[in-house]
Amino acid sequence: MNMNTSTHPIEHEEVMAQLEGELPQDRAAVVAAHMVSCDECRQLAADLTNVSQRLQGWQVEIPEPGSLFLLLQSSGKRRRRQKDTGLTAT
Amino acid sequence: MTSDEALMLEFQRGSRPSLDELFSRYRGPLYGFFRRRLESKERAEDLTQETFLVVIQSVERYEPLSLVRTYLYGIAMKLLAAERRKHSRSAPTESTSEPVAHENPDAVLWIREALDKLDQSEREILMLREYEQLSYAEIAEVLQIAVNTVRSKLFRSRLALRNQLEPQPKPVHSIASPVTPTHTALPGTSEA
Repeated sequence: MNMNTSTHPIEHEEVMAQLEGELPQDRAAVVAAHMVSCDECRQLAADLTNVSQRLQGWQVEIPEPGSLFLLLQSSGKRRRRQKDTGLTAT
Repeated sequence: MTSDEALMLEFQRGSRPSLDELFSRYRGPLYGFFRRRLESKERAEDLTQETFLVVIQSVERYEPLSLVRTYLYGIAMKLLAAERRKHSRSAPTESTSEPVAHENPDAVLWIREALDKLDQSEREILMLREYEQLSYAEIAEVLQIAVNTVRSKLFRSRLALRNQLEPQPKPVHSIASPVTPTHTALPGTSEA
């Protein structure tokens, strides 16, 4: 990516931030309008999206629902802390 | 749906069902947080529980100054740091170490190797964004760094991964879902 910020009106990071909804509304509109006519920024956006999609390939198998909670319930430490904090069932 | 913050305040007033609900919402995400960062499945489960034990222990002092999920990941990050310090002093035993289970071994191997090449701070920021789906401000709060630093390091880490991605050969069996170069919102992004 050889865009020069002195001649390119959009910082590279702004393309990423725009994709993620992390830009202020007015700036997001500027970046979105710029991207319509800038092949380089569109390519960067596609590349960043590609990276994110690849990273989503790492999914973790979550233990059965409730199993952690059952362990938590059986924890002596939890019981002691529950007593200390005065938790009540409502 | 009741907000996390409202549940936390109800829990603070003694509502056990509110704690149950928070646990139900965050059990999986917190387990995933630890599981991707630790070799041991058992330690990931233990630390998920410990995160909630800390919540229970400190509930009286809880103040709604930030989002509950930021609060939880802040606790989780401290527990993770303590775990890493402990392991840096003693090598993990074989009995507690096992590979992370996943559906696509080749894809995960690439991801883990790519992440390993990043420096620790960039890797942590990228993982908090991609897997925990925290906003830049939330990541900044959890890691106690500036939002601009989050953004610049996140960008740098993604470029590094993109560069690793480019020369990668693509064997037919390696990726289950081909990536299409169409414009797609990044995870955690809602498009109007």
